Amino acid sequence: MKSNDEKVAIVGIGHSKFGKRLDVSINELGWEAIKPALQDAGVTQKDVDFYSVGNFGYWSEEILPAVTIGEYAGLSCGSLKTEAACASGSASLKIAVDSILSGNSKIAIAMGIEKMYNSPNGTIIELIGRAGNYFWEFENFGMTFPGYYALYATKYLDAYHSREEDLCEAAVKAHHYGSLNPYAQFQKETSVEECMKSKYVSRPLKLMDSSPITDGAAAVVLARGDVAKKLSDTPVFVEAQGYASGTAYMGRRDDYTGLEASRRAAEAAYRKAGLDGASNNFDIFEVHDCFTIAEVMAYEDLGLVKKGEGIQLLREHQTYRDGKYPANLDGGLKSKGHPIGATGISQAVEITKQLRGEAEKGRQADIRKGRGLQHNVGGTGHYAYVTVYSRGD
Amino acid sequence: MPIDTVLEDRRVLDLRYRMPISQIIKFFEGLEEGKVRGTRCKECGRKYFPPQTECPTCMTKNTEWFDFEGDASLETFTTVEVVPTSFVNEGSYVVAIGLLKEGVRILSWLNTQDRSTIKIGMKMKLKAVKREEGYYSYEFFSI
Repeated sequence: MKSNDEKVAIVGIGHSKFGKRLDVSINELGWEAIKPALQDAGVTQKDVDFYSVGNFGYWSEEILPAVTIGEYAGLSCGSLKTEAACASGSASLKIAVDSILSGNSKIAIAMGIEKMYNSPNGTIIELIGRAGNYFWEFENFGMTFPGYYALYATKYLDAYHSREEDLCEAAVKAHHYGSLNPYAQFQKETSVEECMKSKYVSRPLKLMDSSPITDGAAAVVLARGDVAKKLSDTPVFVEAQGYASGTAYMGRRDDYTGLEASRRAAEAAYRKAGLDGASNNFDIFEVHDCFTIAEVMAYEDLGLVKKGEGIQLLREHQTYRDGKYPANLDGGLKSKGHPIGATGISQAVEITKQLRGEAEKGRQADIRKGRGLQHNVGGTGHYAYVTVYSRGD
Repeated sequence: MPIDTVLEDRRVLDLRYRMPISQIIKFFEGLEEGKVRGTRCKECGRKYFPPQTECPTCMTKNTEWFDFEGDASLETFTTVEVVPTSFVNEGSYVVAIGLLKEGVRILSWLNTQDRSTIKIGMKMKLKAVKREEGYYSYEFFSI
């Protein structure tokens, strides 16, 4: 059993409105998450020993956002930017947690931010496509991110005799919960019919299978366990993080119906937390649904169900709030939005809200076990981070 | 006139990388000769595509080049409909992952007369091609 000073807990959360945020600069958007996180934790900038900023960048003008944001926010302690593609936020969390566990910090901020709309859509599609394997996949073949996940979708639908309509069920769920989340980019319901009518971006994936381009920021204030107990009545502990890297080149992946890096990250997270897997230990799941197929693969890679059974969870609504495994009750990447570097921290904010019992009406899970699980993938399975959170009661 | 609330950048950057290929020059020479090549470690036998001239397992440069015969089966595919800005002149294209007879998987474009006939498991041929722009690449062809 770890003592309190060997633990790290989230004691403050902040989340910007997600969407097309051409009303703010990257620094102003960052402050929109940092300010409420500091206020929620009841600490000031001078209490913070270290901060990390998850960010992919390229589409927005500031190259060193950790410092430009810190300058705006009145933070002058040590800092860095973390990049793990769409898992940059989880990487930010890892570094901030490690700074506390190593004894170098008592209080740290982990934030994530992305300002994608500072570039035109075509540039964004190009930049994300280049983030697979530039030399061997983009230069000659023009891969896109929907393209990569479509390779998985084609294989999955064929291997497990599923239909595009089944994938659309994930979009319907995402939009249902997004409609209940005031921070979400899309706050309206959709239907399988509407999803099926949307145009193909990369067959068999359609626009409504895809997460949007998003501006957004999220921040958490972390504290060493003994400090956290003094600061907060409802600390949420970061119990364990598992991580793994896959290959960049798609030809070197083991199969195309799941992400091997996700499976290894999940196993590591369960082992470190002393848990026997995902199916009996969590009240709430946040999974990386950058595309509908990604959500299905996440269910399987986390071990909620066997391979090929993820679609069945969707068909039976088992990942809705009142199902066996409530997942993405904030709308997920698909409906809440997917500001690349912010997503991992946004997931952490959501799990904290859920475990505190503070989620908005209609989307609060029943918290019995006091634990939440976060699954955050970077790239097409390049990076995987799986994090276990607990109320510690 | 009201001032626009978004400032358009006045500084334009032309981003064009210089990518060193001296270690894998034989790959590009192969394409010009109509061959697609990978490398193989002479010690552990592991095959590499993308090719690399050092084997990190054996910690050695004792590798050799080999030519793919080109026989492949289709593992998975997609038709990219929304293409990146730098590919707008291509229209939509089919990207496939093929398992080569030599046990290596390669991602490339798939050329076929009729896209509706593409099926996982179908036989394909991998060939070196000269693109219209004058440079060499490699692509799958349905049989």
